[in-house]
Amino acid sequence: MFRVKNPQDFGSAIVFLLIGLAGLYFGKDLTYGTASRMGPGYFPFLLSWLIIGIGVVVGLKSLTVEGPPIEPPQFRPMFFVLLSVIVFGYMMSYVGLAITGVVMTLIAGIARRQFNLIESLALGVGLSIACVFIFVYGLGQPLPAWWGE
Amino acid sequence: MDVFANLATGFGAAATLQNLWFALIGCVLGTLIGVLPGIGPIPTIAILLPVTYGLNPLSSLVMLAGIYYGAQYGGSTTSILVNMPGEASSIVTCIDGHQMAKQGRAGSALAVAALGSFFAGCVGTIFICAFAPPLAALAQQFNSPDYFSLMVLGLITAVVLAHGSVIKAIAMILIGLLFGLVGTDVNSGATRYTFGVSVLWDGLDFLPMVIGMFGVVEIIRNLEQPDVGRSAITARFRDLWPSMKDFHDSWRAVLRGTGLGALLGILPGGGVVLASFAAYTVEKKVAKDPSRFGKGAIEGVAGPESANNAAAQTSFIPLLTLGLPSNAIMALMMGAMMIQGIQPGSAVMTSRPDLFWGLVASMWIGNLMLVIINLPMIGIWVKLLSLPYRFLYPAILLFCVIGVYSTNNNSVLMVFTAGFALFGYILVRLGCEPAPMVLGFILGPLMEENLRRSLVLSRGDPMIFVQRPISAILLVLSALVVALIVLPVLRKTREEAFQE
Repeated sequence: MFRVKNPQDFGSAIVFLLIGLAGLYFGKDLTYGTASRMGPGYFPFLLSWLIIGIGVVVGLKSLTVEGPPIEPPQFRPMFFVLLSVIVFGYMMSYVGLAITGVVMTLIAGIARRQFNLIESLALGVGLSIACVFIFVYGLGQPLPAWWGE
Repeated sequence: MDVFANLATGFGAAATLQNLWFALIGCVLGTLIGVLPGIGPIPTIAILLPVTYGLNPLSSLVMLAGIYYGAQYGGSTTSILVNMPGEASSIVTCIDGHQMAKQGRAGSALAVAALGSFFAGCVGTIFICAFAPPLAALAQQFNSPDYFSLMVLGLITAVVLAHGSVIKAIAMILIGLLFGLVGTDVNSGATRYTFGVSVLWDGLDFLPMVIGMFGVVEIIRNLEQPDVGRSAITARFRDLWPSMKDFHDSWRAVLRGTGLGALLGILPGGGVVLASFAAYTVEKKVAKDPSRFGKGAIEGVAGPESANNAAAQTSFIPLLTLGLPSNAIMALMMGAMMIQGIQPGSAVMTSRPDLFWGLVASMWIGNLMLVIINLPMIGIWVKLLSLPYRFLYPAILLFCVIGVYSTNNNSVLMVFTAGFALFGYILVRLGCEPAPMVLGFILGPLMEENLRRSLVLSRGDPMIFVQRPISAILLVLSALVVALIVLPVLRKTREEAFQE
C-alpha cells in the first residue's frame, strides 16, 4: 500500500502536475515548430514537460521520505481578505474610492475573529479620506474618487 | 580616474532637487516599512510601481532603491526594541540586539546598527563603481547563447542560495517562466494562454501577481496568528551615543560584515537575508568567547546589520550590468526600468550614464539621509511600533489593491490578485517559496527569445551552448552549483547554515 509520508511534497507534486498538464492542454493548438524554427508552442511545451517531470519526482519522493505535515488552513482570514480584494475591484467603477475604501476596510475587518464594527468603520472612514488625498490628489493617480466614472 | 568623472556625472544627476526629494521619500518609506513588521519592501515597491509611470526614470529608480536599503535600516530598530524582526534580513539582529536593549544598551545597539549600515552602504557604493564597469564590458561580448546560459546560471544559483527545497524551487522557477509566456508571442503573433481575455494579450500583468503572492498572502498569514501586543523598549536620542568600548568592540565586525555582505550581495539569489545570516555565523566563529552571543554581544548586531546593507547595495550589480535580477526585489526594479522603456543590461551604462551613475550616487546620498532619519528621529519610529496590527493591515491591504487597480482601472485585475493570493497561500502551505516564481516570470520572455535566437544561429543544434566558450563556462559553473547541493557533505553544510 502507498502511504503519503510527506504531505507538503505530495501536495506540491499535485500542484506541479496540474500546472504542467494545464500548460500542455491549453497550449495544444500552438505550433510546436522545430528547434531551428521554434514555434510559439516550443518553449511552453518544454517548460510544461519539465514541470511535470519535477512533479513526478517530488511525488515519488513524498511516498518514500518522511516530511512535515500541512498546517490546516484557516478559512475566515483567507475568505474575507480575498473577498475584500474582489469587492474592491467591482465597486470602484461604480462608487469611487471613498466609499469602496470604507466597505473594503469593513470586509477586511471581519477577517479578524475579534471583529469590532465601530472600530472598523472609523478606521475605514479615516483610511478612505487619507487614500483619496494621497493617491487621487497627491499622486494624481487616475482613480475615481467620490463617484464612479 | 574614470570612476571620479563618472561619479561626478552621477552626483550631478542625483543631486537635483527633484531627485533628492524622491530619494528622501524612498528612504523614509523604506524606514517606515522596515520598522513595521508585516509589510516588507517587495509589496511596497510593487504598490509604488504605478506611481512611477509619471516620473522620470532616474527619480523612480532612486525612490524604489531607497525603499529597499531604507528597509535594512528600519528593520534593525524593531529587532532591537521589540525582539521581532521588522524585515527578514534583521532576524538575526533580534538575538543579540534585543538582549542589549534589555540590558539598557538599546541606544548603543541602534547607533552601531545605523552607523555600521552607513559604513557598509558607502563601501557597497564603491563596490558598484569598481565592479560594474568591468562586468558590463564583459557582458558586451555576450551573444544569445551566452545570455541563455547566464540566465540558467543565475536562476540555479538563486535557488541554491535561497532556503527551502531546491527541486521545488526549480519547479517554481519553471512555473514562473511559463506564466511569463502568457500573452502574444512576439515572433508568430499567436496568443498563448489568454483564454480569450483581452487584458492578457499584452501578457500577464506583473503587479497582481507580486501584490497577490507577497502583499495579500502576508496579511492572511499574519491574521492567522493571534494578535499579540508589542511592547517596545524605549530609546531616547540622548542615549544614542555608543561608548568608546562599543566602538572598539564593533569596528572589526562592521568591516567583516561589510565585506561579506558586499560579496554575497553580488551573487544571484544572495541578497540581504543570506548576508545577515552569514555575517552572524562568521562573528560567532571568529569571536574569542562565542558564549557571549545571544547575551547581548555587540558584534552580533554590527556584523549582520552592516552585511545586509552592503548586500542591498551590491545586489544591484548583476541587474545593472548583466540585466539579470538576482532576487525578487531586483526583478521588481527590472520591471520598473522596463516600464520606463529601459532594457536593463550592459547597455545602460553606456547609453544612459546619467541614469546608472545617478542611481549609484543616490545610494550614497540616501545612506547619509538614512542615518539622520534613523538616529535623531528614533522617537517617531518607536511610537509607530505601538500601532497594533489590526489598524495596520486594512491600510496595507487598501494600499495593495489601489496599487493594482490604478494600473488600468480594471476589475479583472483584482480577480487575478485574489487568484494569485490564493495560489501563493497554497504554495506557502505546501512549503514552496513563491520568490523564485517572480524571477522566472520576469525572465520568461527573455529566456525564450535567447533560446530561439541561439537555435536559429546553430540551425537547431543544442550543442551551440557548449561550443561557445562563454556559454560553456557559464554552464559548467551551473553544473558545479548543482553538484554542490547533490554532494552530501556540502548539502549538510547548507542545511546547517540555514539552521542558524
